[in-house]
Amino acid sequence: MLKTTKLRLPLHCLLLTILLGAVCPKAQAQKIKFTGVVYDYDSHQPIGNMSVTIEGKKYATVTDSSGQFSFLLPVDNYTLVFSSLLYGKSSYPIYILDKTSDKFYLKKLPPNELQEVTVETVKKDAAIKDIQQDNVRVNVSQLKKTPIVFGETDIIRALTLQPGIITTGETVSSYNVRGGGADQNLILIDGAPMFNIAHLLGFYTGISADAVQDVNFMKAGVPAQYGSRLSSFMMMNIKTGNPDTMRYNTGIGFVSSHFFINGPVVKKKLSIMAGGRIAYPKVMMNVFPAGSNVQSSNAFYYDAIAKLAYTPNDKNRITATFYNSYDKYKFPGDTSYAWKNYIGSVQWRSNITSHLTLNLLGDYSKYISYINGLDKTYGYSLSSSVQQEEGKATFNYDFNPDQRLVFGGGFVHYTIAPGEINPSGTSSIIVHNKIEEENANEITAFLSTENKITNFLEIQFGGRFTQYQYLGPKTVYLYTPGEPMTTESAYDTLHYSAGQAIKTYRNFEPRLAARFLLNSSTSIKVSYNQTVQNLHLITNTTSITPVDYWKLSDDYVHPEKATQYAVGLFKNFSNNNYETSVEGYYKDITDLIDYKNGADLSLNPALETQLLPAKGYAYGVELSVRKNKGIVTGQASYTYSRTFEKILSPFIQEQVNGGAYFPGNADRPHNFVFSTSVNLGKGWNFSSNFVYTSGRPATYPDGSYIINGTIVTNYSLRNQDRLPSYNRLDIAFAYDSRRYPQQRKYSVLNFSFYNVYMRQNVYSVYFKRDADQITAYKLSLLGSIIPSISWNYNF
Amino acid sequence: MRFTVNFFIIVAILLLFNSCIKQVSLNYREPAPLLVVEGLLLTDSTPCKVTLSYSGLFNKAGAQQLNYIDNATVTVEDDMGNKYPLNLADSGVYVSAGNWQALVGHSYSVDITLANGKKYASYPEKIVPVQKKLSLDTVDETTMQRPEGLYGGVVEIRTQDPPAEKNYYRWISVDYISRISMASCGFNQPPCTYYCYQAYSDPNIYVLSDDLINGSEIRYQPALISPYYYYGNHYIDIKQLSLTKEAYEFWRLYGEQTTRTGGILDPLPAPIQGNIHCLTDSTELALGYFEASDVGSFKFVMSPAFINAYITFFNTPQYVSHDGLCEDVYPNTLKNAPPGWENAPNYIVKVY
Repeated sequence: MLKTTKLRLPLHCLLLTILLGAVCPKAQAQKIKFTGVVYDYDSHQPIGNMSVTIEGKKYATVTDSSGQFSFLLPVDNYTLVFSSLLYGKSSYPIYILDKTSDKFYLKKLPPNELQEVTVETVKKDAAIKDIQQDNVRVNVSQLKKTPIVFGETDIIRALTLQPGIITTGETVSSYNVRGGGADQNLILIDGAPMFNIAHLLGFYTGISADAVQDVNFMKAGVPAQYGSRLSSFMMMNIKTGNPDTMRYNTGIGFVSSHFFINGPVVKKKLSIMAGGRIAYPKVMMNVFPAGSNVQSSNAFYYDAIAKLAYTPNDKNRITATFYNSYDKYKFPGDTSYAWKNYIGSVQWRSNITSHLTLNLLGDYSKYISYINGLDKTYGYSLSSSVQQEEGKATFNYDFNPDQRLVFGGGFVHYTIAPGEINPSGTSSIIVHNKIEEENANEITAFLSTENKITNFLEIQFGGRFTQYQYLGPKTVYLYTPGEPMTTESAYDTLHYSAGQAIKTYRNFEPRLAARFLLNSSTSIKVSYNQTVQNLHLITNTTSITPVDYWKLSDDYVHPEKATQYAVGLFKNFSNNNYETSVEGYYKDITDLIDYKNGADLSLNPALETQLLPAKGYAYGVELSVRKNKGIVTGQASYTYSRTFEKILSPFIQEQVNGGAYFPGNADRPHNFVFSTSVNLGKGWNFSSNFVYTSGRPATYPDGSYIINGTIVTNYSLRNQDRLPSYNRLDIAFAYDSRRYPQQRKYSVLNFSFYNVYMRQNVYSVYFKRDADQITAYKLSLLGSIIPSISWNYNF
Repeated sequence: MRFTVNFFIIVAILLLFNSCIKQVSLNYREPAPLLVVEGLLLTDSTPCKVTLSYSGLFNKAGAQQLNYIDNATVTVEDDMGNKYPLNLADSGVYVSAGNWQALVGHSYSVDITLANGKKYASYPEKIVPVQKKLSLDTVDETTMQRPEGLYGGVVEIRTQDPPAEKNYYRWISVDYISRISMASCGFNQPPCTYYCYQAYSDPNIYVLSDDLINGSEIRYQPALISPYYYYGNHYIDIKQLSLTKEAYEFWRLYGEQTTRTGGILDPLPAPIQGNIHCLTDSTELALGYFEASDVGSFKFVMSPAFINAYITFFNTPQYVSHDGLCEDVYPNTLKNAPPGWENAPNYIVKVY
C-alpha cells in the first residue's frame, strides 16, 4: 500500500548536523523540520487534506493542497501515520536524522471500500492555501446519494450546481462557464478530448459515472500544459483496474443497463477496467398508443470504455484507455440523427529521478455525426466529423516541496470533414456532394513554475506557446476588399496542395496566479490567463446538436482569444467548518465567430461568407458559503454575471442591433444555488438542491408583416428579450446500510424527486400564426415532477 | 461484485417525451414601421404586381388591413433604361399597365417613392432561364393546417434539372377550386345548392435549390396543396420560376421562420433580409423582395373522385355558407369554370 523514494540528505546538511552535535551536546535535543509530500500512487497527483500523525506522540497535521506537511521534531525514530477516507490508514517509519524530507505514495482503497463522500471543491484548508482559486473536484461515488433524474447519476448535472456554470435549459450537453460558449469547454477523458459529451439529446452525460474515478474542473487558472479552449477545462479520470482481485459491477434499469469488470490480468502488473452501458428507451416508448408522437419516436444509445494499466516496476506505469459511444434518435417526421465518439489514449508515466517525472501521452479522438433524410425522393445521409491526433510530453521537476517546474510540448493534427452527403437509396434524387476536408497542425510548448516564496506568498506563472498551421489540400476563395464577403464578391480562387501551409498563427498565452495568505484562515488569490482556441463549433442553435460541425481557424476565421482577470477573497471559520469566498472576474474575448442573419451553414464550401467576426466581454461576482461538518452540511452560492458581444462589420446589412453590444446567449445575470445534506441517522440521509437562474436572452418579434398572404414575424433586434427565470427544487432520501468504511456487503437506496414543485421552466418561446394573428408559445422540456428510485447493492 | 438496479418509474419516461407547450402572452416591443415590398415580375403575360405595406404588430385579426400604402409612385426599371410605371389596382397593390413583358437575361428593379418623400429601390434581379417542361407526378392526400380541418391534395410535379448551371426553383400556382353554398329556395322547400369556382391562394412556399440534386430529374416535388371543399373540378396552373440565389435565400428563410417549433434544432430567430433598400437614408432597412423570374407553366384539371362527403359537409360545416349564391358569399369567385383550361388534361384523383 505504501512505498517511498529514498532521498539522500544533502551532504553539507549531514555534516552540519554532525558538527553541531559534536560541538554542542545540546544540539541533540534541537528540533529538525521534517517535510513530506503525499502523492496518489496511481496518478502521482498530490493528496490534500490527509491526516498525518505520529504514532504515540501528540503531533498531528493535515496535508495542504500540494500534498505537503511538516513537523518540527527532535532527532529520533518515529512512525508516521496517514489516514483519510479515500486512502484508509497506513504507517511508515522514519528516522529523523536520516532525512528531513520525503515523498510518500499512497494507494486508494478499492472502490467498494470507499466511504461515500460529498461533491467538493478543493477547499477546506486548501481553499485558503491552494493557489488555484477556481478548481472544482467531483468525487463521483458521492453522487449516488444526491438527487438524480431519470434514475441516472450524472456528472455534469452535478457540476452545474457550482457557481459560474450554467446550462441551456434542462440539457447537460451545452454548459456555459463564465459567459463562454458551449464549444469553449475542454473535456478530457484520460487526456484525450471528447467533442460531444451528450446522450439522448443532452439529457445524460455521455460517460457512465460508474466508469469515472474523479473529475477535476477549472473555470480559470488552467495550468499551462492545458489549452485549446477558452472557458474551462475538465479532466475525467477513468477508474483503474483493481490490481489484486477481479470485481464486477452490473446494473439493470428501465432505460439503461451497464456492466463493468475491474481487476487484474496479471496480478500486480496488468489490470483492466472495462464495461459499458446500453439504453433502450424505445421499450418504454412503445407503451404509448400506436401512432402517437411518442410511440412514433425512437431513441437508442450505448457507450463502452476500457482501461488497461501496466506497472512494470515502481518507477513506470503505462495506461491505455479506449472509449466508444453511439447515439441515435428520431422524432416523428422524416429525419433521424445519430452520432459516434471514438476515443483512445495511451499514457506512460515514469519517475526518472526522485525529482523528475515524465508523462508521455498519445491520444486519438474522433466524433462523427449523421443526419438521415428519410423521404423516399429526397433521402440522404449527411455526415460530418472532427478528428484529433495528439502527442504530448510533460516533465514535472520538483526542486523541493515549495518549488516545482512543469514543462513540455506537444503536437496535434486536426482533420475535419465539414460535410458529405449521399443518396440513401436508388429512388433518391440527391446527388453525392462532399465539402473539402480541413487539416491543421499545432505545435505547443509550455512551461510553468510553482514557487512558494514565503508562507505569505505563492506564485504560479508560466506560459504556453502555440504555432498553428492551416494546411492544404484546400481551395481558398479571394473576396473583393471593401465589400461584404459573399459568393458574388469572390473574384478568384487559390488551390493549395496537400500539406502546404495556408495560414500560420503563433500565439503566446501567459498564465499567472498568486496566493497571498493573510493568516491561517484568510487568503487572497489573483490570476491572469490568456487562452486561444483554433477549433470552433459551427452552430446556429441554442444547444449543441448533431446538425453542428467543427471548423478550424483559417484565413478568414481567426483564433478566438480570451483574457481573464480574476481575484478572490477566501475566509474559513470554525476550524474550516465554514468556508466563504468572494470571487470576481472580467473576461475579454476577441475574434468570436457569429453568423449572418439566416446563415446557410450546411454543406457550404464558402462558409466564411456566412460568418461574421465579433468580440465580447464577460464579468461577474461569485459568492459562496459552505458548511463542511456536522449533521447538516451544504453550500449556498450566488453569482451575478453578464456577458455581451458585438458584431464587427462595417456593412449595415451585416450588422446586428446596429453594431451595438448585445447580451450573449449565455447571459443569465442571477444564479442562486442552495444544496443541503442532512444526516438523519441510522444510515438515512436527506439532500436537496434548489436552483434559481435568470432566463436566458431571447429574440422576440418586434413587428410582423404580410408576404404571400401570410403574416411573417420580424426579429429586428437580437437577444433584447429574456425568457422567464428558471427555478427548480430537487430532493432525495438515501439509505446507506454501511456501518464502517471497509464493509463489503451493503446497499444504497435512493429516492429522488426532480423538480418537486413541478415548475414548467421555459426552454424556448416561439411564435406561430393562428388564423390572422401571431401567437406565442412556451416550450418546457421537463414540466413535471420526475420521481426516481435507485437501488445499489454491493457484495 | 456490485449489483445495481435502477427502478426508473415509467411516469418519468412518459414525462420526458411529453414536453409541455403552452400559449403565453408577452409584452412586445414595437419599433417604427418599416416598408414591406412584395413584388413579382414574370416573363409571361402575367402583369407585374407590387404590393406595398408597412410592418406592424399584427396580434389582432384583421389589423394588417390598415397598413397598405396607396399613395406611392412605383416604377419598374430594366437594365436598358426603360421605365414601366405601375398603377394602383387595389389597396396597396400596384399593377403594370400595357402589355410589356420581362425578358430572360435582363435585369429589373423596382423604384418606390412614398408620399413622405422617402425613396426605396430593389437591387437588380437578373432573369435566368427556367426549365419549361414540367408535368404532374402525383397527387397525395393530406390534412390541411390552413384552412384548418380540411383535406387537401398535394400536387407533386416532375421536371428535369439542367446540370450545367446552378438552379433555384420556386413553384407558384393559379388554382380555382370548386365551392358550394346553400340558400333558401322558398317556404317549405329544401335549400338550394349553388356552385362556383374560387381563386385559391396557397400560403405555403415551395422552393428548391439544386445544390444537392444537380442534374437529377426532380420527382414528387410538392408545388401546391389544394383544399377539397367539394368534389368538383380544380383548375390548376403550376408555374415554375427560376430564382436568383438571393431570392431563393429569401424564400428559404421565409419558410424556415413560418414553421418554427421552438425545439433544440431550431436556428436562432433572425430577420429575413430581402433586396429592398432605402435610397434616402442608408441606415433605414426595408423588408420584402422584388422578384423577377422566367416562368414555365403546366395547366391541368384535377377532379377529386370518390371524395368522402362526410369530410366536406359534416366535418367542416363552417366552410359551407347557407347565406346565398355561391359567387356572392365567397370572395374571388367565378360562377362558371375559368377560361384557359379548355385543352388542359384532366386528372382524376381518388380521395377516400
